Amino acid sequence: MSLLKKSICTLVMLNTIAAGASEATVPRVTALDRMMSTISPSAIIDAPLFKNTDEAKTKYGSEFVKVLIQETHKKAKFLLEEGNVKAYNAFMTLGLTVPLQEGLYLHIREINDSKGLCNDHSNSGNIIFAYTPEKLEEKYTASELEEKKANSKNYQFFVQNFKTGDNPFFPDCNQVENKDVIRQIIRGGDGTDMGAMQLSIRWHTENYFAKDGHKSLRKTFAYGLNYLMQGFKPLIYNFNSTSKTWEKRVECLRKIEKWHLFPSKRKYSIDYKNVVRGTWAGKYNSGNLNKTCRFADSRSPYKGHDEGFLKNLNKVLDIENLEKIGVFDATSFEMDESSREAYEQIVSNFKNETNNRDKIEAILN
Amino acid sequence: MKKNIFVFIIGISACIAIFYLLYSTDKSIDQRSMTSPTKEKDTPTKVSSEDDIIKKQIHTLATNLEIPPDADKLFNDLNNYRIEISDLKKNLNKDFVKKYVKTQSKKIITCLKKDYCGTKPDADGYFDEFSTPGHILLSRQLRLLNAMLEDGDLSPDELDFSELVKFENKNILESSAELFIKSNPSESELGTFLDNSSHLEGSKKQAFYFKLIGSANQSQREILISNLSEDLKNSTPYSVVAFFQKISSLQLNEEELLVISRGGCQLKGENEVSWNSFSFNFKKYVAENSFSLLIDEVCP
Repeated sequence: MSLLKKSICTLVMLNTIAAGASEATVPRVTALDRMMSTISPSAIIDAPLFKNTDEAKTKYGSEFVKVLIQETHKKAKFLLEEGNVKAYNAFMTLGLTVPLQEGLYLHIREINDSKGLCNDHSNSGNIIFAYTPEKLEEKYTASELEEKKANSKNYQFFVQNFKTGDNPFFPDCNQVENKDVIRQIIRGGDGTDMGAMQLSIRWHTENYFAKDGHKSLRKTFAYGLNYLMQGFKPLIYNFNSTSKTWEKRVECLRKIEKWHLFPSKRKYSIDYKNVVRGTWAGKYNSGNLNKTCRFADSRSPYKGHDEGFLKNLNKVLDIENLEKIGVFDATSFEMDESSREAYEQIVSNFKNETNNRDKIEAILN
Repeated sequence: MKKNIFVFIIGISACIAIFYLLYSTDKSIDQRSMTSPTKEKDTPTKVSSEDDIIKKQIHTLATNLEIPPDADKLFNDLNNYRIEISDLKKNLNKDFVKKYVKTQSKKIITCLKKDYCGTKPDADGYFDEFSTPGHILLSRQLRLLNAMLEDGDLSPDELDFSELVKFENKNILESSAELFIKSNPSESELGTFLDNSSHLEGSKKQAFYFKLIGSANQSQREILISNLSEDLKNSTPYSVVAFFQKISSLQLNEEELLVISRGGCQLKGENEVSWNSFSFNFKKYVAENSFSLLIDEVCP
């Protein structure tokens, strides 16, 4: 065999190994096991799937960010038309931050290293009543649990959204025990918040879960961002309202421009970083615009939530210095060139109050 | 050949190294975890099937709201958000629905006012006081009734409209607005209805007025336009902005636009963000409809 032939043969062998590796078992991020619920193998999902290899994560992250930017722009583009570049940049930055805070930039993952992986406590909805089966057993007898379920609106919605029909979204675990490949959706600790935007089954069933929004990443972003916008718009447009209620609501969003001895004559401008923080703290995380300035209250019982959000916002704002973006190392991803450049341009525009658009526009098409 | 074996070994070593790195990263995350990963476990406390539970839960609610046995199915369907209102109305009798909603809406209004029908904030503090399950049930009842009734099928005193407009829930407001117009109210009844809704702000005020204007006859429309203009003069800036951001879906003549727009002049001067929004959407509407109004003439 000539040297050339031998080399080709070796390359083919290595290629075969490499190809085999891409279909081979991939060790999952096990820390996510406690944040995930297994979904029906036959559910039709319109979302990139998170898989634990660098290559797959880059592909996943690029698509995730692309869809996120597209949907955020759809919601915010009217601000550009109104000539309010700062507000547009702020909402785009808010859009990049909330899914990092809420769902760790995850929605659905696919694993193949643990046949039939499924947590019955979560998939049955029992997690709504206690975090672990052991705690559930400590807290309730069977009849007490039955009574709890009969009176729980959360459980009613859980069943309505995920356990009904011929092909329930969350199957009983014995139905997936022979499956080599498992798909799971990210959920909150008590199983009532779902997906990339961590939307609550208690508050968002009618127009989101009942319409199967959770099966689509794009619909999830569209719904969650629309909800964010409902909190964002009143803050920026009522910033100069003379009503006492609104003065109090936006107090923490003010940046002094011109000081005067008489407070009523002082001039303020909008601090858009605080608008980002206040929109999440108020409407999105509290359900109440009166809680907008929660993040500025050092005695707030939700101080930890708001500090966590700030940490993630600062991470987004530091994108130019980060190779990967995510909450944990193992879930962080690199992005392809177009997603990364658009992401960086949004952040740069926000920080520098500019409206450079070429990289953003490139990803919108 | 030796070289090839060497390359092969290097390749395998690289794979092992990558596997090790992935594994060790994964392990480091595990250390953040307070509890060990959960592999499948049988539920210790076996209970009835989900279907039985849900039936029991709906039954409990029905008992609390004193739902008569012949209305059980409608009550269940209203609580099943997967059923669209357009599907719900099929095979239902108009008089039955009207009687049902008249009775049930009063009960829900009472329990919402008392304690949000028992809804408490989430453990993490989240509570949307305008979108509790009680509000959604009420809004679905009103949407169903609205989908089934024609003009004149209802009189203004058959629903508690003065209470309904206090709920700042967009769906409740929109349905209440359309049902109220269907009840053929007198001028004074319309005036009272609008007075009761003057607290509404922002996109809720916009949605409410859009439904009223879209359903009104000519004389009602004149009252609405005039009232809205006065109302906007004293409203929050976002109430003006929200109205004009959606104005393209409303068919106004030039005179009507002029009257309503005067309500936005309060934004001129100190309120740049809101003024820019208002004037942009005003100019856009003027251009789309080939009107000749100028913003500087409307708000000198």
